[in-house]
Amino acid sequence: MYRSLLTGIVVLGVLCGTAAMQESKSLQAEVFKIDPVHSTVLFRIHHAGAGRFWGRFNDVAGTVTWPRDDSVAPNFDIRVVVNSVDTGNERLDGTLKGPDFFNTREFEDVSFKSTSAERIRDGHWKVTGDMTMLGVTKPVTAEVEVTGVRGNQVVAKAGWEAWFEINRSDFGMDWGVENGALSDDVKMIVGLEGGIEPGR
Amino acid sequence: MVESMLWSVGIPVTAGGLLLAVCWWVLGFGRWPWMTRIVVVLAIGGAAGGSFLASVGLPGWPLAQKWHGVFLMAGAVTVAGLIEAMCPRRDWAGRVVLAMAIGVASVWLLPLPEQSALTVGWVAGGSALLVGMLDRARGGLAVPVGGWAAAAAISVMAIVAGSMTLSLMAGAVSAMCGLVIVLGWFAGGRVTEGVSGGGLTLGGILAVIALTAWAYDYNVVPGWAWAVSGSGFALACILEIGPLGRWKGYPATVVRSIVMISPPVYVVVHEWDAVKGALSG
Repeated sequence: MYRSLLTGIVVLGVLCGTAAMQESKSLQAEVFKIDPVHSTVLFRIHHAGAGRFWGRFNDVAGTVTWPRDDSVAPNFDIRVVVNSVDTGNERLDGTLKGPDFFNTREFEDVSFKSTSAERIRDGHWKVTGDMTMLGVTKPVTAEVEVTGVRGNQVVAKAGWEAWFEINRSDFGMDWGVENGALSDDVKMIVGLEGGIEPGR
Repeated sequence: MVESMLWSVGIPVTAGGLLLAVCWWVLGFGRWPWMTRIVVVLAIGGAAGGSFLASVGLPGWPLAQKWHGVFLMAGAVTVAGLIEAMCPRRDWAGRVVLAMAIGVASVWLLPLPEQSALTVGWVAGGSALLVGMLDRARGGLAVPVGGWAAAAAISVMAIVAGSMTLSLMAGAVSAMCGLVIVLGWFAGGRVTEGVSGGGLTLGGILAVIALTAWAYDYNVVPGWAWAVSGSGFALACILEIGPLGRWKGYPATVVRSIVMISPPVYVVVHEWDAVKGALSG
């Protein structure tokens, strides 16, 4: 009787301990590696004061450090390869890669690194970070929504969506700003999916 | 694009045209030959530099982007052109020194990606020397006509390659050469031999713009097209050798102009499909 009771207590203790360990582990920030297939960087710009057109970058890489319970803001370290710019028009893509715009001969990527964050409400953050484009680094603030998290302790996926605006002339991309051929302000929407996999 | 052309071609070319008109008509065409040449140098250099300023603005130092050195080179080549305009007609050694200075300056001011400094220096200095000597040996309208065609071809190639600012710069130089031809014709009447000068500046600026556009081109425009666009000047040098060099008058000017125009026209015709695609956007 005593032996059975003792065994039960030990088992219960082990289970509680495991659960507690799991609880404390879930509170730790984990590093999610960006999945380029399910991540998108979109930009929108006003052309000649008339239509607004959209483009995207197809090659996104980096990491998001974040605890799954969202107790701490996601920390972004993102790199976008500018040579992957895609507007659906090959000639326009060539112009955007040229010296007047992204100057891909000299600058391979645009990067963003979080520096601070402020919670707006559950699952929503205002994340400030340093954005580097054309060799110029400026602070940028983005509104970020945690779009979901799924998985277990071994394999997991999480998603975030961010939107913000920049003035491209702040980074030295001045073409068409003065004469209104293209707007200075550019709206950015970034959809990210990151994953944790075994062995990482 | 129309607004950009107005700002980056229309305004600098109008300013250059006014300068030419004032100096040639008000002060008297040909009264001071050095002034006639200096005005052409300022008009061509100002068209290129003014076009860059209208598109990009004043670049800082050190350069935020390497290709912004094209503006500094336009300034350096213009200064060299002003010195050359003062040189005696037969001072070839002085012109060689100026061309070498342009080559050295380009190594420092225009460190283009994926281009060796030696290539940039040789092409910029060599082109300036070639066109400068051709201009001073020949005079007349032939070099501005060749410059008009070569700059127009480089402008078209640059827009195909996706370099808008460089295309507008070359377009401004082309339009300025056109104005030099027209205003020189009216100002000088039938005596067009006086429309000279600016050759060193023209050769240097065209080489620098073409080299820069080539450096940032992802093989959209074949490499030979950039070289052939400006090769009319080299071909025209053949007409300066031996008895052909003493051939003067309108027939000589027409033949020389045709020799200089043909290569850039060939390039544009050969690349016509790409040109149509670029201009339709």
